[in-house]
Amino acid sequence: MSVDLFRGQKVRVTAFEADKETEFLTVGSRDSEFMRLQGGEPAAIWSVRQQQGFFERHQPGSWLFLIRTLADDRPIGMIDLEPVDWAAGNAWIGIGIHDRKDWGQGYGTEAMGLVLRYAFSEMNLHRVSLDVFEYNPRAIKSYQKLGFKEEGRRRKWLNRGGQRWDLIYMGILRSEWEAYQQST
Amino acid sequence: MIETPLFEAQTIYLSAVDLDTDPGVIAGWTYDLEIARRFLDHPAKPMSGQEMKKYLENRIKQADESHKELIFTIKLKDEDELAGLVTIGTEMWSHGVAKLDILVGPSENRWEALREALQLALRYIFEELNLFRVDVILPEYSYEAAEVYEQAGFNLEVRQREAIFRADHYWDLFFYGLLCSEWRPQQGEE
Repeated sequence: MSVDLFRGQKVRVTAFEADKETEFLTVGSRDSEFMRLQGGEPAAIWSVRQQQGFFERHQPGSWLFLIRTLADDRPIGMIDLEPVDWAAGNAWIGIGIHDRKDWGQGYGTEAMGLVLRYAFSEMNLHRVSLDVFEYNPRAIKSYQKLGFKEEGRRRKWLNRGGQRWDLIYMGILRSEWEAYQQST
Repeated sequence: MIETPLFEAQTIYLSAVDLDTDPGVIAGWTYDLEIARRFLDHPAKPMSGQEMKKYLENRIKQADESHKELIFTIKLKDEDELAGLVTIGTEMWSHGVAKLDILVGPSENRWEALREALQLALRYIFEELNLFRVDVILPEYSYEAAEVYEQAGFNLEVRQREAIFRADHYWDLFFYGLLCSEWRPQQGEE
């Protein structure tokens, strides 16, 4: 029982100290490509103080983690789990790696794996849900690698860049997570 | 064009929540956990009139302040009785998407009330709010409601597997969607 649940081979996830990580909060707040991969709300620029205010209001009572590299202990992104139905044991998961130089290195996949392990073996959830944009193939591949299955698409839901895109929903059941654990 | 009634159908009309009389009636419906579920996070429970009044007050206040939600009651023309609640969420306005939820209370013609309220809601969403698509979420076991939405042209787009737990059993959550371009041709047929 002494396994450090939150430590992988490349990254670890920790609590997020918004008041300390000002440089980290600055990085993600300027890259509109990051913003448009991350969320459906219109991309916007928030000051560090505005972001800190947001975290102050929303962090208590939420499962929000900071992702740090093991090699140089750098904060590189965030991941959050939002239980929406305790009876069904269903939670939404969301992740963002803020700096594009950290994309495509397996950090996100590993961080997701750590939080999924926590979701199933500690929170005792039954399933974890997510949504992802049609124009984000890197994320879709990462989720598929972890065992998420596509559950459908809301057609032409997203209006961005003068085009309509599908909003893809994926989910992983506890039994699928356990099978994935066996196979790796 | 502007003569087409937005808030009146054959047997029902839409109105605003009356915080003096409506909470008691709606609370009375919440012995049905499927209805209670709309107001509370799981696990749902039957609510008192006081709890319902507080809930509706908060919801109306948030809707007024955010301008991202519209709330209507469904009233039966005959007895002027409360038959349900319609909420239209426009949070994702930049994508032109509305989130629609119609609650109908336990009455003899609840599914007819649902059918008519849905017609009014769709006309409002597509011709007054000028939105692009509508999202509706139903649990797998809501067979009668699903039929009403499917008959109105909604497509089942997503099945979130085992996302809801009721009556000792996991059920799927069904996400339905209707595009304005799918709704519009139907109107010519009427």
